[in-house]
Amino acid sequence: MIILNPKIISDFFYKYKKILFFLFLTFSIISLGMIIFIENDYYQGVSFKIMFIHVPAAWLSLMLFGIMGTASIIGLVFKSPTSFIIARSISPIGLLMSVTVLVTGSIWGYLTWGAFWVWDARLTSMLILTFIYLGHSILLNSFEHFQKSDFAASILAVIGLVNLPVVKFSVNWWTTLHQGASVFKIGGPSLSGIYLATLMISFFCILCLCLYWVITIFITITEKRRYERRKLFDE
Amino acid sequence: MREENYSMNSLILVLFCYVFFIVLAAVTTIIILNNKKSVLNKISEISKNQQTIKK
Repeated sequence: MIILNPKIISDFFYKYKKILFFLFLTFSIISLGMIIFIENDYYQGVSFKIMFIHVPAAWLSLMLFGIMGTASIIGLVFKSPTSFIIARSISPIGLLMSVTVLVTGSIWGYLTWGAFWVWDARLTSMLILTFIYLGHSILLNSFEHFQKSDFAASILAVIGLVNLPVVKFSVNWWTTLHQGASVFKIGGPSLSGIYLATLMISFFCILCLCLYWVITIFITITEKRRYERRKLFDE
Repeated sequence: MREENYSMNSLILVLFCYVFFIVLAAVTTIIILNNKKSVLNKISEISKNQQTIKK
């Protein structure tokens, strides 16, 4: 059980924080270089370059919600403070990623479909995911005592997990204006080599940044709670 | 002429997407680091005060 102590995990993460930031800087320089020099798409022109922010942000918002939901389940079942802190650290970053997906997606939609927004299954389910993230963040700050807010927000995160397969498979289950999967699909990716490489480097760049943010928030919350507990003990 | 305008418009919107993300990332990093700094400062300040009281 000692491994689940937030302080031990916080100390463990602290060592890798700087490495993550260094990796983010390296990947961002490489990916920006590749994005600038890569050839435009024959049909979409320059607008397809939005993909290198939109797609990694979409993957990350789904992945982060999956981790947040799992951490919430573990927290609710085992009453583990570490899991609740992980969920709390991920919530604002997931919200940020889903807002990025919606903003970049609607601009891309305007350039390719001629409309900023359509009530398409993929777009609507992504909007619902953003609202769940928003609700989770609001719940985390709604109660005076953090244990109550952790409990309420975790229940929302567990319910919100139902939306994840809906977002992922909406393009297969319904006829949508949004294109289908082009990387994670049966038969392999349909993107050509250089585009796929640029996309993966952009993804790792944003992933490193998100992990850096989540770890920093995790350390901050752990220290704050340790201090509050010590203060309570002193009183 | 119409096509030229469209590509110019596209380029501006693509650049807007990248600027939006870079600004968002920078602001988030500053807020997170500031928050961490203020929490750690508060803790060290109170620890120092407690040590002085004990002495």
